[in-house]
Amino acid sequence: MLQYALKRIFWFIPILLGVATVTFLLLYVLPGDPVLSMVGERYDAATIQNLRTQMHLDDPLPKRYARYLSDLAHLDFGTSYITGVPVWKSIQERAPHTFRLAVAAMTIAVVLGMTIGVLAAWKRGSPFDYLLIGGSVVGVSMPVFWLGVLLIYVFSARLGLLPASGFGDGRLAYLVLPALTLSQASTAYVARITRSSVLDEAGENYVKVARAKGLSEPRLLVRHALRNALLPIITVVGIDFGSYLSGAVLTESIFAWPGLGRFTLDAILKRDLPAIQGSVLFMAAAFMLVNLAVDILYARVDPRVKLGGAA
Amino acid sequence: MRWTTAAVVCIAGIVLASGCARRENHSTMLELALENSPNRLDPAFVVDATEGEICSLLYDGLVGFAPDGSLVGALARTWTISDDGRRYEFHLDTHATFSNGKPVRAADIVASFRRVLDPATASPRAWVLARIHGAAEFQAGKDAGIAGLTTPDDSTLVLSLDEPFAPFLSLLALPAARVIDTTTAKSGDAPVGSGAWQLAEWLRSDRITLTPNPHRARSADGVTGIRYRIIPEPFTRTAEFESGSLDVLEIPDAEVPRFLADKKYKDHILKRPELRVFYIGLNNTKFTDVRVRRALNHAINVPAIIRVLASGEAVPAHGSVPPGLPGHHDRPGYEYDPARAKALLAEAGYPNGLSLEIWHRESADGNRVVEAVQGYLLAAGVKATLVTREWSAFKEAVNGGKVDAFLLDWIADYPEAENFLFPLFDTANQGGGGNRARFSDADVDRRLDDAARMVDAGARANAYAAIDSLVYVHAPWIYLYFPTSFHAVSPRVSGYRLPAIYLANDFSAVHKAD
Repeated sequence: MLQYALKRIFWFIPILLGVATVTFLLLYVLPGDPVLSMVGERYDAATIQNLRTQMHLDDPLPKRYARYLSDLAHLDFGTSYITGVPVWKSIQERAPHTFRLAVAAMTIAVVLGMTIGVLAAWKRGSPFDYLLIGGSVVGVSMPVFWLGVLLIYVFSARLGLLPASGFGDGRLAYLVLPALTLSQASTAYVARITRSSVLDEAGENYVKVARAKGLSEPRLLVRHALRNALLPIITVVGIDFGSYLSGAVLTESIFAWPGLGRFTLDAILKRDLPAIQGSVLFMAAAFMLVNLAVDILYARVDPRVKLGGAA
Repeated sequence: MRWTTAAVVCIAGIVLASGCARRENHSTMLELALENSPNRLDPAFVVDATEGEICSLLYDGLVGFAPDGSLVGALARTWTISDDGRRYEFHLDTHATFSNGKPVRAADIVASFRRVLDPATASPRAWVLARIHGAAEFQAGKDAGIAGLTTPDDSTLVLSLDEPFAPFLSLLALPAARVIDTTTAKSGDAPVGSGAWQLAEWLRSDRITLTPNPHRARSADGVTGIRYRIIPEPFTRTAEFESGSLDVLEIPDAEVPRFLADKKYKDHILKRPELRVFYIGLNNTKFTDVRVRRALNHAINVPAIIRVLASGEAVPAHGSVPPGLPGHHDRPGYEYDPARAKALLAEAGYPNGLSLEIWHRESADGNRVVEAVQGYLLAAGVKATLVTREWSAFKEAVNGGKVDAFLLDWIADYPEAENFLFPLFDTANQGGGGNRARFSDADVDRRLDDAARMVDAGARANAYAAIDSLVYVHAPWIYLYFPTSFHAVSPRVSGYRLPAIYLANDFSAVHKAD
């Protein structure tokens, strides 16, 4: 296992190099000039030139690329053109917020989604089943910004129960609405996958045997069928969790959540090259780590999965 | 079933617990919201209104703006200006103290100015101080000091200009001319200043908290601090205000009618005519025939746009200098007359109308305006295609003169007609200097030059009014309107007022009931 993990981590280096190169080139061809975001609405040509020279923006492409790689090799993500703050420091400030939101959303998705899925499987064919599955279709298709706005309107503006935005003093109350909003699509998806996987397993012989032994249906579904239906659920959760770690721009904007998504969006809008490059690399690394964790989890859950051969 | 019960109990628990724990807004801080996080709070790098507003709370300049927009002494108690308008002598307030306890000396002012002018600082606002005698030599490295800045003693500063420039005192109130303790300047941080407030906390993308400068006298029952929360979405800001978490809300345009009709809020709404002009800039190097530009102005029903999209509360722009500024003149405008527009176009050689692209950046309020303009233009035979770009790409294309027309606005940094007419229409400012319509007229340039030298305020105002008339005849833009903004203030807050200009906020007279 450890050997497998180390091998995978070793492969991160060329992949990240590839990501860094593609990001660098994309930003090079993108229209828009970072200097224009620094100077405001009234400036002269000399100011622009001075800034361009200071930021080495007029250097030839290979020279800039070489400098960028050499900084990366020293684990230096550079300093934001726009705010003057080191990029790594900005990422460190925001990553915990993103992580917190992602974990909360994933917890809701797993607990709520699996509960709904198992209940629907248990009551399959009943109106309750149709209601849950219909609800999950709505959940998958509902746009995040619409749900977010609706939740804020009901729980903050009208009922005054929960704060509308920000992370305040870090209390759980501030997390509830953004996490619910972010988790919505995953919850619905997990519910559907759980229902169908559990139903698949419920037809297997070992489940029939357990049923013949007189086990109650809920116990049967949870103890036996669900356990074996976990693999596809882990896959979905893993992919979603990875994407949540890359920042949830819409949710973060609606709820003014100070996470990586908004940071990156802001950097892109202002063409803050070091900040974009730094956050993209960070997100790619986070995504790969989550994927690795999911693969390791597979082996834990299902003894048939052998890790070494897959890599 | 245990699962369902557990899940229900869990969710109910979270909601209840958070509900009970909430409503902590008994704070005695003034709770405000910003749409965007400021990039910098260092005066040398402050370039927009959001940054400027906070900067004016943290840092004092030699002079500042009173709420009515007039100039008042700040670090300078008194000053004299020589008859030729070139030599300024400032006598400093000897009690002024930085928030770290150090007294503010004349040398601190020189050091702050020097830092902004120093090419190594790479301040985008060095132009604010570039008129000081010797600044150019210092910037070029020919002189180690700035000849036009001298300090006969700790509380006197003598400043001389290369040539007279009437609005110079206003420039000295801008963020770039605010004074810092230069020993505390560090990349990306806010240095120490001597303003009424000091920075207590700055969580980028979340909030900025200011507390009173402990070395300044203040009213004992005023607010204990100011908290700016960064909330990008207008809907969320509105919900935060309605749930009592924000004390002041700049009401989004689309929500104004609802607030004005709401019993709860209608007596707590302040409105302010903005020192700001909305316009559609025409690329004057492309639309060289003045008849075409006038035709486009006649094609638009600005009063109707104001009635529908601006709650009827904006003033049609018949010039670029907003009402309330010396130099504003209410001249007759281009009347809405589609037939005349068509006739002018035919006369100019476009009997079948013409096509153009109007560039704009994504914004709910701007989208509505530009769509209305598109509709009116079509009725006059002009086929306008709307091109939406985000700010960075928009700016690059517009500043580079690559587009036919663009929706933009211009907001005063200091309340002078010069702050509109010179950047917006002087040939030297084509492109990024502010003249994005690339208007150029030798007579206008010469008059702008002369007006800036006029020391007499009345004569200067008349000169600018005449220049505005002259430019208006050339119709370099489709002139839209001077907007009015609406602000809802929590009934718990008293003494809150809207200054004429964003740099004049001070909040020292604001009280908040428990």
